[in-house]
Amino acid sequence: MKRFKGNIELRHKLTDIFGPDRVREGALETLIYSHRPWTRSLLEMKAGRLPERLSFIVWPETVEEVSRLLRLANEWKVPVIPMGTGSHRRGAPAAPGGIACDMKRMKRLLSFDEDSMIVSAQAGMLIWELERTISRRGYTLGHVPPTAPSSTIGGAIATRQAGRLSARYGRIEEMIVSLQAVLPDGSIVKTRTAPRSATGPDLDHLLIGSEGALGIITRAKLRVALSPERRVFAAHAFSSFENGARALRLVVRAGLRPSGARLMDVDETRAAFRGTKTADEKCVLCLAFEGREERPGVEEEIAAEIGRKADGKALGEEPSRVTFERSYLDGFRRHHVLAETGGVADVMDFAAPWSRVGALYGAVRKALKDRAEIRTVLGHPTPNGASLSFFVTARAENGDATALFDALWADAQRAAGRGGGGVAHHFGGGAQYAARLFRRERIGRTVPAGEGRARPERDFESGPAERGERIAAGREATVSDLFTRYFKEIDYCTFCPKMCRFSCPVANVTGNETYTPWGRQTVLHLVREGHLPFNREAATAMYQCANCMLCREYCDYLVEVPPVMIAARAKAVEEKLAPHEVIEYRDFSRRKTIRTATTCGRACATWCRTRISRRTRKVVYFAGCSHLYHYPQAVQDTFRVFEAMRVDYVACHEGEAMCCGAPLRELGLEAPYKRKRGEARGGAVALQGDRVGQPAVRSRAADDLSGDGF
Amino acid sequence: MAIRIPVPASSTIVSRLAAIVGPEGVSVSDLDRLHYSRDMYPGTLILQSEGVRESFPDVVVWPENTEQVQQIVRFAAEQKMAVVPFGAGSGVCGGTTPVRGGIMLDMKRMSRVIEVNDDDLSVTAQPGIMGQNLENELERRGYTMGHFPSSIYCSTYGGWVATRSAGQLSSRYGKIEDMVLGCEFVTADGEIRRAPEAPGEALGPDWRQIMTGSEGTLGVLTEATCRIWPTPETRLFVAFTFPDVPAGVQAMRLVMRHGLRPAAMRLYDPLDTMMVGTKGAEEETSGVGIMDYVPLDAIGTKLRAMAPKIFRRAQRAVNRWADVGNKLEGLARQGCLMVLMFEGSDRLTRFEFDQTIRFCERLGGRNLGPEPALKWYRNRYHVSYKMIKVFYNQAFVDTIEVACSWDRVARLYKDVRDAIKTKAFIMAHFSHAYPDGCSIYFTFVGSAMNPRAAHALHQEVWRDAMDVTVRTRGTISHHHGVGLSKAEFMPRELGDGVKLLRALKNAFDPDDVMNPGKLGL
Ligand SMILES: Cc1cc2nc3c(=O)[nH]c(=O)nc-3n(C[C@H](O)[C@H](O)[C@H](O)COP(=O)(O)OP(=O)(O)OC[C@H]3O[C@@H](n4cnc5c(N)ncnc54)[C@H](O)[C@@H]3O)c2cc1C
Ligand SMILES: Cc1cc2nc3c(=O)[nH]c(=O)nc-3n(C[C@H](O)[C@H](O)[C@H](O)COP(=O)(O)OP(=O)(O)OC[C@H]3O[C@@H](n4cnc5c(N)ncnc54)[C@H](O)[C@@H]3O)c2cc1C
Ligand code: SF4
Ligand code: SF4
Repeated sequence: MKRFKGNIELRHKLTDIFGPDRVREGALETLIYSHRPWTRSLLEMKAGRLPERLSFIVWPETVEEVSRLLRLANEWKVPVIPMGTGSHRRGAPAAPGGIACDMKRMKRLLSFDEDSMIVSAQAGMLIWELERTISRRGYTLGHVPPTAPSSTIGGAIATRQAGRLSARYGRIEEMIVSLQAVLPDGSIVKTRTAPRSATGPDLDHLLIGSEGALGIITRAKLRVALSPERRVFAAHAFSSFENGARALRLVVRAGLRPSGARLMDVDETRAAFRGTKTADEKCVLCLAFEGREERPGVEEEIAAEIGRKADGKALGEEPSRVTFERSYLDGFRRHHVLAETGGVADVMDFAAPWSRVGALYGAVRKALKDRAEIRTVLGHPTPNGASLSFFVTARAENGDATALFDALWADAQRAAGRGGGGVAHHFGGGAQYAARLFRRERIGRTVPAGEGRARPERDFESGPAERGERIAAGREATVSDLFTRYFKEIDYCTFCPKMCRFSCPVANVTGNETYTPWGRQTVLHLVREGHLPFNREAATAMYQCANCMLCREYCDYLVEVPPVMIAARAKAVEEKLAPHEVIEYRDFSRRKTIRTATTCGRACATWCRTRISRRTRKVVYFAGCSHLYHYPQAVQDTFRVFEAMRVDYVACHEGEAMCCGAPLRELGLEAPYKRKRGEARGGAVALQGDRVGQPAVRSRAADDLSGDGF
Repeated sequence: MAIRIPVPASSTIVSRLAAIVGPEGVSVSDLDRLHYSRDMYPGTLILQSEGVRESFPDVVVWPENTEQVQQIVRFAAEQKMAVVPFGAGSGVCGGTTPVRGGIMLDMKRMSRVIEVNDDDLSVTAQPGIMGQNLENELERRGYTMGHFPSSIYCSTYGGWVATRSAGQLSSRYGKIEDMVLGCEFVTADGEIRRAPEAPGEALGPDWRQIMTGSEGTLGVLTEATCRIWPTPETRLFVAFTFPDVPAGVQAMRLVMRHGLRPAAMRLYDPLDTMMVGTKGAEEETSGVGIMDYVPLDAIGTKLRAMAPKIFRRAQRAVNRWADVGNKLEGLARQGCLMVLMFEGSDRLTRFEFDQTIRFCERLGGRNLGPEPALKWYRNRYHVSYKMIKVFYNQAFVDTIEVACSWDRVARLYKDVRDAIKTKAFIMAHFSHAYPDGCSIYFTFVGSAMNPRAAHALHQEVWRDAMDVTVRTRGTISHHHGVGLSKAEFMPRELGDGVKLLRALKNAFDPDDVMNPGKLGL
């Protein structure tokens, strides 16, 4: 890599692109550009070990220059390091001899669309500058990293920054509308501009957080927000870090978006409030809210209520105001001082989901506490997680500060992994969640009456309307009925986006598209139109319906699939395509001249007893409300068949006690509905041991039941 | 003309696959392969009764766990066979069309809810679970994901993530990409990957955002964690009418701009308003509107069934959708309806609700009370069933969902409408709003003298609409994805970004095994 330093030809080429003023190679400059405010590199410098120098520094002013630079770099195989202000806390990429591409001359504000609240700026612009410009017009980016005065837009994006106000305004990546960048091969790309899009992966995310490794960001379009009109502060003290964390979790869970949120542990509380009464508290949670009109006040009141319930003690606004108005750079300066005197100081931050915050806190502290002083702050909360920052200070006994630094980091990272920062939160647990019938532990949801799903109107002249007729129709369906009588049913399902498919138990168990109501009816459609033969395979599909009628509950046109299937089965039997058991059963029943539905079930049971294997099986039989209502006889027959086959079954719907009553309510019969529901609750207790989770019925009833805290 | 279904995968391939998933998990039956040959892309549906199907998978496979997916993908890579992940096939742009045959990987037997974490407010589930079943499961435990696409009954969790789906309450809860906290996927190179590797990690590119929307072209999603919310305490409804589209759009913009987050905020253009009706009463059109106006629909099924071909021809002859649209336009005088719904914790919700009402009234909205909004809510999934009737009656319907920043919304709306309205009946609503812009959801209905001509017309409408959108610098899809049908527009949509996409594809899937032909790849 050394060969690039002072290389005259390379310098000429660079000068061709940038002119003489914007190419530098002085020893001091290239050294400074190699250094970062990374504790480790401070320690190394202190010990007299200087980082290896870069070869050149260039200052592009246009995206084309950046592009030309990268093409040249490719030719020469020389590394290029994009630079903002170099405030990167975790060190610069090691590329001795490389070219630093300082973006700070690309610092123009390009456009500001106030209607859409989108600002477009070059990557080298300082966040601070941007904020100052737009705040004059009544807007804020809402991104205030501690280093705002000295970090660039490009650098913030390339390091995926989270600012102090992230709980309210989001991290930098949430502000990005689109990016322009130069890829390593020198080509210029611009990502799409839209509030949201579904045209493939979000390519911005290849560049966000890439720390310059995947390209140089040259321009960003960012979302801004309206400047807040007012700010309110509040502090609460908690008896333990866990309690404080719980309170903060509940605050964000309630949908509040504090602009500032900082929970300090005992050590940090003592240090941060030294010399005031507050220092005597255990853990202090500082909150700030900002926004327009009464909103911040309302949010603060809700948060105060949550704090009170979580055993917090209100400390007024002062501690919080002091905390948020203080510059974080103070702390950093202290670190510098410490480094000067042979100590080690750094901030280690780990993100974790809430369920792991406690474990992470304990693990990291435990790993380091013998060797270092640790103060901890919990911040950047979202409803799903937060970040823990450990302020670590230590003194090297043997004087090798770098070694101590490395050891502390290694141990902290390992501990964080153990404590939850590194453990994926994906444990199995199917059995734990076995469905419990009608058990809802929710309270207080108020749903306006009649707000559920509107009732569809039946759209068919063909289907039988009365209960009795329906059964008859099913039984007496003939082959010729199939395509004339059920013409509309067949077509409707064919053209349907399978709206009822989630409710169909057969579709759910098999996961097969052919065995959805849509699938079977599509077969019939294509057969009817002459595109498919009605062969054994097609016939078999017709048997993949349990006649449960659940699908009907989710059909706007109240299409009834079972009668069609029954007619299709008749065709299958006639054409000898049905499963052989079915044919045999038909012959058997013909011999016995079975005519009526009632005798049919009994005969079927007799037949099964002789024919079907006698293995004992445990079955929970859930007929489904619709089935019970429309085909009560079929349910009885099923019981008989089960018994004949010695199936060990539990039926959820024996008798009528298990009807939850939801249909009554839909009819506006409030009192009978309540009575019915009471009975159902009794029934549910009796059935508690069984695993029954029939989604359709539940969701149907859900809206109605929830209002009463059922 | 009988549908010709090509020969299936060889028995060697079937037995290799059966060795992975068991014999129950593989099918080469003609019927199964037929059913997996289309999704809900209306272009295919138009030709349905003609028996036209173009591509069929060689084999359908149902894996039951991540390891099986991994083995299948490895096997496919070795054989250079295409793999097409399949959710429930509710996609509307041919995303699951097996253009190169190969393995259709139906994820629906991976449908377990793995964990619901109360502290983290997150749910981890396998991708094959049907949307409504997942939401039911959450609801039962006192949560909601807040994701309610109109296709919630017929689409899977994994399909949502793969296509960047948007629910009806996106203004409050975000699109699916805003909800994904983590995912596990098997990439084409046969590796099982997790993003982020550690929860909450913020190092390097965010692979979640790369996998989200990748439509199966980079890998198979095998698990996803999304954020959830406690079931809302309160739900509040209100509706307004605004004199015209720009006024309504202005109101939406101001509401979002001030940080208010209605769960639903839907603005209907004058034609759509007419279809939906501004009254709350149930006996009104109940959202059916024009789609229920179908010539000859009243003819009995018997008659239809007797001479279906003649009947269809007659019906096509009287279907004049573009004319109907243009006539109705003059009659649409109710202005633009806006329905609003708020939900969440009691106090905050009420606060936002009141503030929004003040905004809308100040901007010239006429307050209609809660009824029209309640009516929308009750009928919120009904629209999905409407297409059935339209197709049944020999017309076609499709939707175009574009999005752009606020400064261009009114223009994009007008330009697309102007480009299409001579060809088909077109109306629109604005239903997913953000502080910086919103989406426009066009619905168009058309017909032609025969299915082939209808198909050509359908294509033409799309091409014109996409052309206008790209020129206005909107995105060509807000939430349906790209699939096969929009693939040809991707170079114009992404510009040089196509390079990045290509690079991604090459990095994970150099042999083009995963869902070939989609996303313009
Ligand atoms: C005291 C202190 C406190 C801090 N606190 C926080 C904090 O609370 N939250 C937080 O998130 N960060 C924090 N940081 C880290 C620091 O602010 C970020 O790393 C900062 O974003 C870097 O911005 P920069 O412009 O200085 O970039 P640089 O340090 O110059 O560069 C950072 C990285 O991005 C690359 N890069 C820079 N510009 C571009 C570009 N245009 N295109 C492509 N790649 C580019 C560089 O190559 C480098 O890898 C803190 C730093 C300090 C010193
Ligand atoms: C009536 C109707 C209404 C609709 N309404 C909405 C709406 O309101 N909002 C909305 O966003 N969309 C809507 N859609 C579109 C559609 O429902 C969505 O695109 C949905 O996300 C697709 O889910 P699916 O499970 O059916 O996926 P499929 O259609 O099976 O697949 C879609 C794409 O995702 C890929 N894919 C599926 N599963 C996986 C996996 N596990 N791993 C990798 N790739 C995978 C497939 O390969 C394919 O490319 C609607 C569709 C219909 C028919
Ligand atoms: S029964 Fe109704 S919802 Fe189900 S596929 Fe048929 S038409 Fe669609
Ligand atoms: S009746 Fe039951 S088994 Fe048959 S299609 Fe409908 S839901 Fe599926």
